[in-house]
Amino acid sequence: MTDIDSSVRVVRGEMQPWSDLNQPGMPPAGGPVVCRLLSDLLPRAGRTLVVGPHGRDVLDLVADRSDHVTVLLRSVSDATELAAASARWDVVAGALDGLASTSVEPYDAVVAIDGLDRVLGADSPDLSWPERLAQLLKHATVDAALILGLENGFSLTSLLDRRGLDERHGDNEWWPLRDDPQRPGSVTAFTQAAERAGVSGAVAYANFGAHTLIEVRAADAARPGSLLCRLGVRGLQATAQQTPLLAPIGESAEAAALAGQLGAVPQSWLLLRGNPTRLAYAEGAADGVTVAVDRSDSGWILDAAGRPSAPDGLRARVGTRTLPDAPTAEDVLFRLAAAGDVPGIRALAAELGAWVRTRSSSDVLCFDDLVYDGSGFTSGFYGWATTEPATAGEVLAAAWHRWRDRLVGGRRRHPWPPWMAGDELVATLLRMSGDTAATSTVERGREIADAVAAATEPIVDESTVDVRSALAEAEAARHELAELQGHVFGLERTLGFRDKQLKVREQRIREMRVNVQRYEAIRNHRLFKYVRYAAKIRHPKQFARAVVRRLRG
Amino acid sequence: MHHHNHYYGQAHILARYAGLDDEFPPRLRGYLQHGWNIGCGWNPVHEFFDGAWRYVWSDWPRRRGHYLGRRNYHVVGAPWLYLLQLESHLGVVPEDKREGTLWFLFHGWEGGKISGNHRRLIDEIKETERGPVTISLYYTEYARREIRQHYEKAGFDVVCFGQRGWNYEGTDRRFLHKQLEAFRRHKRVASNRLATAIFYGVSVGCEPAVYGDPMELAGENPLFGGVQRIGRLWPEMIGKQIDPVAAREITDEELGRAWLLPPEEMRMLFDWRDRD
Repeated sequence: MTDIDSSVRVVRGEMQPWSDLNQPGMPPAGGPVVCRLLSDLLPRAGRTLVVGPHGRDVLDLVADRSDHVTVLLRSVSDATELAAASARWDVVAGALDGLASTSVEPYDAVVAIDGLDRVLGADSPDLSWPERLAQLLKHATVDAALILGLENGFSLTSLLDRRGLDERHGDNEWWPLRDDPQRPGSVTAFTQAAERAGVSGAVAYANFGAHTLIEVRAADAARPGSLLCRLGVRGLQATAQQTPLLAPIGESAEAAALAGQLGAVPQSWLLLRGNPTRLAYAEGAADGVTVAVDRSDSGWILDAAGRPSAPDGLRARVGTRTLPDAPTAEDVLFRLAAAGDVPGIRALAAELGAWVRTRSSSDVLCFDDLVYDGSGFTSGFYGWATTEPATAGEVLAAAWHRWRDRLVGGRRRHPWPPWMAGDELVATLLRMSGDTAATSTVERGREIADAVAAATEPIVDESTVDVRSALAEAEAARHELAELQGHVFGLERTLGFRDKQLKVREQRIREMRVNVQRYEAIRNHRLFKYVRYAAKIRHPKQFARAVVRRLRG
Repeated sequence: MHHHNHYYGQAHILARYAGLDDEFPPRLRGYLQHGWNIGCGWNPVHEFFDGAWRYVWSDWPRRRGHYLGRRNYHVVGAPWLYLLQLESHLGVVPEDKREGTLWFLFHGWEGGKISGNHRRLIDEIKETERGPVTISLYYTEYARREIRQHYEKAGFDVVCFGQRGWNYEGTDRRFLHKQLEAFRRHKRVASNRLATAIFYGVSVGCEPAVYGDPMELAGENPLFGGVQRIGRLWPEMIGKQIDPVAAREITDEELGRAWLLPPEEMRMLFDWRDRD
């Protein structure tokens, strides 16, 4: 690597051998959601600088909007690979301080979504975060469009990370970046630090692992059950799959939302300056779909776009729809279940059943994406439909299966005994919805629910199961063991009673046998024989005459 | 202990500094950096046993090793600096009596020979150096008559400080002592590549210079970036006239002057405690 590809300009601080592209849990910044935000944000620019590792999707989008793009990467191999991939950008290998020491014409747009933590080499000075920002802004015009990321040390994924501090960060951190006292620790500090550096009029977004982006003030205003809270929680759950946690992240995220702090706990923040953007961006339920969210007087305007990729048996719909600002049917049902309010569930199930039978039956129903405003239901942005026709009963069965899975899988309170919490519960709920709950309907519902789960839920990595869930599973196993031991005890007691019962009956049989033997002894006595014989005499008078004749005889 | 730890008698120097037997230095638990390096402290394909600790001269190799996925680093400073403390008077001459240039030819090793234009290099040395020049050849080049004769015929004083040893055999324990004496009587230190000897020379007051054909080393692994990277990272150290203040600062950084250990801490770190 002494002879670095001539298409790559090298400045001081380059790293080799090294790659930022394959660091565990730290992919290059990008993804469809970030790109959708960028496509709204970035104006047409003459010169754009991209600093740090970014996905090819980001670079392509930037190149579409700019006459000239420069990409700064600290890894020589990453830089060489990128330079070889396309001539749409100039690639510089080296550190930010190395670039800052060279004379460069200012850029109209600066993209640093990955933040300022992967812009120095091991040979760079230990620049504080504000110093790195100053180095970055040296290359920007005064009114340059800007997008800058900052990792959040107070994120829920960080707070709930079960690893020790010495194992939490990877090969990237030869210098402990988070020990920098000037590093912003909150979104307010982030915004203020940027303002001090000359970036005014910027808007901050909470970045839930590149899965969901929510404008920070809107995130803080989101409460559990609201659309933005659900999007934030989904984002956190999806991206936290790679982190071994102490507790399920969804509960904590909802608690943060309840406290008005959802904007304080994402994995990172993005600070933007450029064209106006929407209130939130998120991945859709289907791969390839993104959803942009805006507020209107009648609720939320959801704009789902992209080319959906759906698993076998399903298809996904995109488009724009308006969603009331109300809780989901799932939330309402969870609350009723936690309260043990079966009549309430029965009533809502009946209402659901009646509503489903009035609509197109191939649309898959997910109660977690079905808003209930007290008088009616509105489907959200998942947009799933079955490829094969499905009856209203099958659609309902699928919805109840999914609700049951999330109820039991989420260890929520409910009033049903464990032996009823499987298909029996689904059949019961289905009957509450006015369906006959035929076995075939329940089975078809299971298939649809499984297909939806496979397409919608993050893949569970067993190595990162959180400690609370692991402890809960151990506790559940102990509880089940205790109950089974109780069951065995009960069976033994029953056996004991049965045994006593048998003994009593045995005793009675024995007594009866003795009585019978006594009776038999009586029966076998000579006199008894005579009596018996005598009893057999049918015509006593004739017999008496015969006896007299013999005696006289 | 890995036999590299004995190179140039470095383990011997540290043992002596720690107040222990320096003829048969105790086993050192880990790997001791034996030369200045632009990577993690060792060559790119050096073998390490699992759980090994790596004792490096400065924080820079630790950082680079960290990003290579290596941990268990401890910065101890260069053994050379400990030698300076132990031998504060060895070979010292009055400042105004120091003269000439101690010129180190970039050297090969037991597994790789250097190749380059010696004639042109000699011309450049003669053109640059004003006083007498002592050429230091590593024993691998010193033993190659065709190389040694180039410099002898040019009228230079050609010296060799000895062997670093191999598998604990042939180690010249006085290797660095002899170098120290030589530095202290020379005014300048020079080489055709920025290398350990330049930093050693600067640490005892020599004016540094790095110029001339850097030459090729057979089998050199450029994984860490090679000569070009040296130019990017230490441009102040390249040239025929170098700012002595900047050179001193960089030398202190690279030799880890701020990281030197007191003897008792060194005994603890290397597991050299007396357990009897």
